[in-house]
Amino acid sequence: MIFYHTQEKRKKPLEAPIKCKKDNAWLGEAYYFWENEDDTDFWGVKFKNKTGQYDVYKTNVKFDDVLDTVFNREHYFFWIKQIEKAAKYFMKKTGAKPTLKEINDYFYERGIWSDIDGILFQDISANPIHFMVKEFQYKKRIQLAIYNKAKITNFALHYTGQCY
Amino acid sequence: MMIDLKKIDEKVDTLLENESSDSLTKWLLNKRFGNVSSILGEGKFVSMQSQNTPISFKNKSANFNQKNDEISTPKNRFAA
Repeated sequence: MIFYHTQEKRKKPLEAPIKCKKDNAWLGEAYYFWENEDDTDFWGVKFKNKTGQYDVYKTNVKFDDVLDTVFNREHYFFWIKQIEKAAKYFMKKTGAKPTLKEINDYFYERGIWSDIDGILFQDISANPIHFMVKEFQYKKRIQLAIYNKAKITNFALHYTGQCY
Repeated sequence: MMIDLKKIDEKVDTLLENESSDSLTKWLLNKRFGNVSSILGEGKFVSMQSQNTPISFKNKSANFNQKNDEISTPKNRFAA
């Protein structure tokens, strides 16, 4: 399946995606990709604008062992169950609600996702032109987090966009 | 290959069942405040209750909310 990766424009294009290690990354440390080019562009303009231009890379991802919480009902309900099971346990045993980073770290450090290559996830876009109907959030903003780099192939520069 | 959801589900159950309040509290404290073992040493977290004192306190669980606004901070600190 084809996905997109955005980074600041560089003199020499990347040969591989950059791993996101930020604490606020939805799905922990991983290689992040976008499903749609419009989300890719919005991300480039908004957050990858240090050099005034951003590069969009296109890549193939082998999707067989990806937990698809967006289009697969079984995966979606399984995903919710695991997150809430762990969160409830944290609350019960420590009295504290885990943060995004903590739940991700806990699952990663305990090897919960070691059998899967990545997670497909959706949230709501902050892009004002993402939705073409007023007050109707009908379209998903979809991201793919890949933990297993070997599943990423044919990574190449697709185009360069202008930030301003 | 298909993802074996049942296997992962059981893995999470086993993991959580084997987690005690101590182990999870320690893990969380380490995440939020660094390596607490180097300060407190190894051992169990024991709830200490004052028995012979005229002053009574509300029994509360560990406060993990240092970064939240729930923490009571003297008002003059905000002006610093």
